[in-house]
Amino acid sequence: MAFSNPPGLLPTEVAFLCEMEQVTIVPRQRLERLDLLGGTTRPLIPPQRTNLPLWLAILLKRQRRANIVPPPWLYVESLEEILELETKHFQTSFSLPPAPSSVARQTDFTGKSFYASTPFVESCTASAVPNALPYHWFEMSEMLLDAASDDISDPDRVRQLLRDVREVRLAKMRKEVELLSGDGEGTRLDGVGAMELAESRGFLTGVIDGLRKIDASREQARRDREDEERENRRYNDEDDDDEEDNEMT
Amino acid sequence: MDNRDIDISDILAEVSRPDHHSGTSQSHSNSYSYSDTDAYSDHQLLTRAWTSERCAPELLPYPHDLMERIMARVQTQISRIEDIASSGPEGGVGQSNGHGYGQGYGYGYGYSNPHKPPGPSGTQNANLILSILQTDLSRTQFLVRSFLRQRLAKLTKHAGWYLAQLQRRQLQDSNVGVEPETERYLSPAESQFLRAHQSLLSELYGSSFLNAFPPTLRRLDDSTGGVPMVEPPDAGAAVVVRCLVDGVWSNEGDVERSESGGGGGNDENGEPATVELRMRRGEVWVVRWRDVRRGVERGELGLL
Repeated sequence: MAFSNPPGLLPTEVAFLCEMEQVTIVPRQRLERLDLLGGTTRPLIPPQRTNLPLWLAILLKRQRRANIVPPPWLYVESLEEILELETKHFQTSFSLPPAPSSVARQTDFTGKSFYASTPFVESCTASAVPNALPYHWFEMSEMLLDAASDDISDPDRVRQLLRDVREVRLAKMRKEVELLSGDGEGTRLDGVGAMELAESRGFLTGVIDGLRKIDASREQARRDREDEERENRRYNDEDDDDEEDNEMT
Repeated sequence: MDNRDIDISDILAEVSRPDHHSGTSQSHSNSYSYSDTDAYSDHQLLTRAWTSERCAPELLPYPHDLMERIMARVQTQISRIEDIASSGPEGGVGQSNGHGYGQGYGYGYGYSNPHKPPGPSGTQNANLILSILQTDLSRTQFLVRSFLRQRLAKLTKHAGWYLAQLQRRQLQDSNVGVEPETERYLSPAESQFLRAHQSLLSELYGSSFLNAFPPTLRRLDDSTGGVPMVEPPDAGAAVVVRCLVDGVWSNEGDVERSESGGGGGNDENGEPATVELRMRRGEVWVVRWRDVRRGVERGELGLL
């Protein structure tokens, strides 16, 4: 009953999240609007483009009821540009993710506003930017190549480029380890992909937590020293005699 | 039902058409399209809650209202699916064997009434709609189930610690008597589970071996010798967050509060923030949980 998966999302769970990303489709049949638990879909009227969650788009695609419009970054030219960015311009960090959208604020049932976050920021629709990889780029491209390779132009070349991009980024992830520390100041991973994070999370957090435990005694000593100094200052204000005591000890 | 559906889509079309309204569109969509945006925003919030619970080393506050709304919606959806399934199958059974290729053609024509489609293409479409609704339902059910099970896993792992927290908060509540803080972190079912779990466990330990020990060694929450038996969740564990707020986020306020709070008794849950952090929108950081916990709870940061 209880469940023993380690903290952090598993690759299958990341894929599940990715299936909530909106993608653009061209329907081949009519379908009324549906009130789903994940939000209402618009009525499908061929050949008008609509955005649907990926799982629904794939369901329709598999039954040949729709075609999927691949996101602009999943074309040969865009991937070539991204690969160039990854190798030439961002040699130590990941290339920049798409800029956060300006309409990220939403309101919930009670009227309280909240910030929209990743599977719901529309970074894989036909209107996404072509030269930046979104958070779910790896899973998205895998799933689209699997279910809708006939909607993607030159799928073999796309596959090859994706593999290159992945290798370049994997090497960067490995280099990132050298920058890790246990001091709690944090390490930046801008532009990291969901699947890349899922596969490296155990290692990253393991290293950081391990370093922290090694440093723990040192940090404790530092904190004690700071506390002591603070105490001393307080005593000094009250009474000068204490200073002598401290010097003695 | 039909009337409401039509109203909403008309209104939506109206709202989305004129561009000069966009400045006030917030208030527009608020006042009109309740059921539409609610399902979607609740879905987003549930997804976020699930991701956070899966990634955080500690139990997060239980989203009472959100879960209530989601469960109510799941119930209505189940009865809707049952309605469609019981009204659908006449004549559809024989045809559903023909699932496969070539189905996609010809559904479009002659199909004008969107609500109760007649004829063979209608039943095909009803089957499609049914399978979509069921997939959607199971996805939501998975989210809810995984969310609750993850919480139970955390509760059982650190049962002693959470129980102590629970009892301390109850004491505070009975003193103050106004705002019950107890229920913020756990749902009623969860606190019941926690109590029953821990009492069964101590009973089992007691009857199987603890009673053979001398009375001074029987406690499960001993802290003599400076080593407490009750292990708290690791608040210093590394987590990955993305900054969601506009501009710069910083946890200065949290760090200051925890410093001025002093003795630690003021902080109601776990260890306080210690390291000052600053991040800009869209940045991804690997940091310690205790330094960003407040930010995550306020929805300013998203756990990845």
